[in-house]
Amino acid sequence: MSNIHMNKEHHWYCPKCKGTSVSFELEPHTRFHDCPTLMLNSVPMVPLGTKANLIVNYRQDYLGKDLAVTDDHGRVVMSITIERENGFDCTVYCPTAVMDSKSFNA
Amino acid sequence: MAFTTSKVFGAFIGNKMDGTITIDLDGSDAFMFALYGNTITPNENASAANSAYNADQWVTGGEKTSGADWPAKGKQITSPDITIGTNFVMWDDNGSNLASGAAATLTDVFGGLTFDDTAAAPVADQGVCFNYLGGANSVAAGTFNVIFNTNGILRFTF
Repeated sequence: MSNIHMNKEHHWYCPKCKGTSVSFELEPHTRFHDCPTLMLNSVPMVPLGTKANLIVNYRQDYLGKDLAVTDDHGRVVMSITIERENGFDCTVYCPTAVMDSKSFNA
Repeated sequence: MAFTTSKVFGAFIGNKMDGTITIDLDGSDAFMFALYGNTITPNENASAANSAYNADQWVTGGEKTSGADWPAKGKQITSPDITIGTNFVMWDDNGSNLASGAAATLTDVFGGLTFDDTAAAPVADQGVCFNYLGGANSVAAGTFNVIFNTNGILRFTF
């Protein structure tokens, strides 16, 4: 007897570039894509049909030696907020903690 | 004082080098990423005991949680991995990022503590590093995703 996997089909779009995508996962998840409009990787998408607004939030503080995501203008992207009618989502881009040999915890 | 930067705990490095701790960074140990607000002042020079979850700066009073969607102790880093490259060693999550449940409400999240939820000595839940997110981040009745930088959660350069 063969096993039949009935994965649910999810349709997504990007409020910024209007790109679309399809995923097939059973668990709740967020679809990400490389957004050509924002020139950023791992930008969250929203379920097709959802009214949403995408806001890019830039770092509010000195970067120091942390390694972080930047846009094509060199601005450090802190997070992306997806505003929906009944709430909002947040995707944070966690910077790297760097330790170098020249100065303990650079 | 505030959460303003990302650092690796010196106690973690020292304890790893002298054998006090037997943390396996890309093996069987479970590592958690817990969220915090801006009322704390993380210190990379803290002792092992004070780097641990629910100790010193990392007590639960400063932690950000949202029921089962983002519980106390945070979310587990599911695919921790070590990469040894030219003039660097990197510890990352191998591309598997973190996500809350779909109905999380978290206000003013400023950073996270990564700690070992498996090893019991020299202290349980010893901190590995802390990462500053760059400012206040919030979610309301939604999903909070954490995408780790492609340069790793932490990185040694030499």
